[in-house]
Amino acid sequence: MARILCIETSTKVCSVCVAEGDAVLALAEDNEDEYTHAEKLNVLIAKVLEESDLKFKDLSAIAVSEGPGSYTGLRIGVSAAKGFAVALDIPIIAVNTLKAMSAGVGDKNQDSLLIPMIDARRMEVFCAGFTGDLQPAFETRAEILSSESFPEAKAFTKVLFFGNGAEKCRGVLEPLGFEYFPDVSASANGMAKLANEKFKESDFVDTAYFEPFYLKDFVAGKPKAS
Amino acid sequence: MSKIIQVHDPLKSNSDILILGIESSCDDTSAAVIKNDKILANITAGQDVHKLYGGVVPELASRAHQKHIVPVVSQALAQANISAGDLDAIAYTRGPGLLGSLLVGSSFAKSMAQALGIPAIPVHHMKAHVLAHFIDSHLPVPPFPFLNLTVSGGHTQIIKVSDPFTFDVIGQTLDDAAGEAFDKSAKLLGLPYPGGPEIDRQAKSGDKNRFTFTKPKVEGLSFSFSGLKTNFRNFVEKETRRNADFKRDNMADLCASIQHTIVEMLMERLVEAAALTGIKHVAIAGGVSANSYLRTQLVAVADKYGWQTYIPPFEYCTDNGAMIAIAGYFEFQNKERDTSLSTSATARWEM
Repeated sequence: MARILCIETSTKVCSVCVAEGDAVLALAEDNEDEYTHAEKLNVLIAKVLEESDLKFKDLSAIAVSEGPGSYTGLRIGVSAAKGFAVALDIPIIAVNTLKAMSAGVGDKNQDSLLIPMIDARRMEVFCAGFTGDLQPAFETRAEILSSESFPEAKAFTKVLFFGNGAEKCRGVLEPLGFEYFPDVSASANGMAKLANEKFKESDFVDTAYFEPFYLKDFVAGKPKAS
Repeated sequence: MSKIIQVHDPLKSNSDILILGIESSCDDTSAAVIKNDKILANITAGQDVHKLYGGVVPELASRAHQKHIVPVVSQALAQANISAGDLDAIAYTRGPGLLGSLLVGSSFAKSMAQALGIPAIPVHHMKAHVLAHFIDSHLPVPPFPFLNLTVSGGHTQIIKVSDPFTFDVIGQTLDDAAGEAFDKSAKLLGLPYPGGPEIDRQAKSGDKNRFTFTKPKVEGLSFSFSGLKTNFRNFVEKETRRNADFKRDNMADLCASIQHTIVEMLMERLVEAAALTGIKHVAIAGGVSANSYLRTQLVAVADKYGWQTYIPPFEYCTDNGAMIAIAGYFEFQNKERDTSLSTSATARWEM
């Protein structure tokens, strides 16, 4: 069975786990108010390997949460994944952050609409829509929250908003039938099953040229006059 | 080279030390493999994307590092004809520099080392520039203590180097770096980024005494280039109002004159520092030490004052993995080195 190290750094939560098949053997998370991924990531990884009684050479692949999310967090997670993959000569699996969050929620009802959301700046969130059985309902997008947001929700009997962007929805969106779970955070725990599925299909990314899912192109300001 | 090892505890083992050095502090992604003090490979990927903006855009630099890091490291290992498993340690630039850029190299290096079960060695970028002198290049190596003038796009420092771990900054810039003065002057003249090398090229056919610019007065061994920049801009703008083609008609002389002024400011301070410390072994490092006029002026000043001078080969002057690798080689032998997994990149880091 595949043993996969899962790395989730797309939000303030620094989360890692070792999975064997679909089962999580050990999970370690650090949820601080500030970004501490650069300090914590390698320490937490040493911890989960020790707890699962595995060595680096026992790993079959590295799974990394690809985003969308914090550019800095993703940069650390993806760079680390590349370092492990090069050292161990094993492949990298990219898991969509929002899908992994939905997998972690555990509402399997296909009549439910899951909307994971990551806080971007101001009234913006990075979000996507999945049915309870994790089929895509709408594509990943950057949404500026307003009462017009999420017309897709009308077709579902139950709508769950979750992730650290969900808090901003209260009061802005029509409250009808919506449920908010802002405390649900991105976790490596939700990545394990998705990563294992991808491993079985040999759905790997190019270790050299893989980049995080930035969602938005970076547009630099006009050059300053000197 | 035994003289390096004598500085610190000699290694008991007679086996060679293989270190991978990774540099990503600004806009060059570079990886080098060093065997003791001999470079086996030194691979650098630059980033053309910033030319559009006339300067480094941090977010774009970080994204480019993400795409370059694996190809650069793989190529360095292949050229050195070793595999990752042969390495004894991985040295990486911890800082100072652009945080996003540093995070790519440091996260990669720490993780690669962790998986290989070898030390990850954090290296100070500015110390590495100085330690580049100790890469075996069949050139004389400065004896301790020596003075080092580090001049680059981000830094201007005179450092007294007492041993591979003891660096005293005895003079530095209060505002712009010397390299910035070159680049900003070039930009004002409409030369392409990075403008320093372009000024050097144009100046070769110019008269350095044609124009004079006011050198800012600062105390002690400090530098200031921001006033010079303003002085230069005001002068060029004033003349351009009288003659729209002023820049074009006087390009070579303008380049030679501003270059002469900047280099003269550097040399004056270096002479003072040498007199103050009584040290006659004087070295230069950093990207601007590739400047041909700075090199010839250093030799001329050295002749006058009886100094021995040390200039690293060009490929070890600009940002490069080789200097990180040699710094890692020294640090590897330091029993008190930092071995924590939680050491992370830092944009600011005191010498």
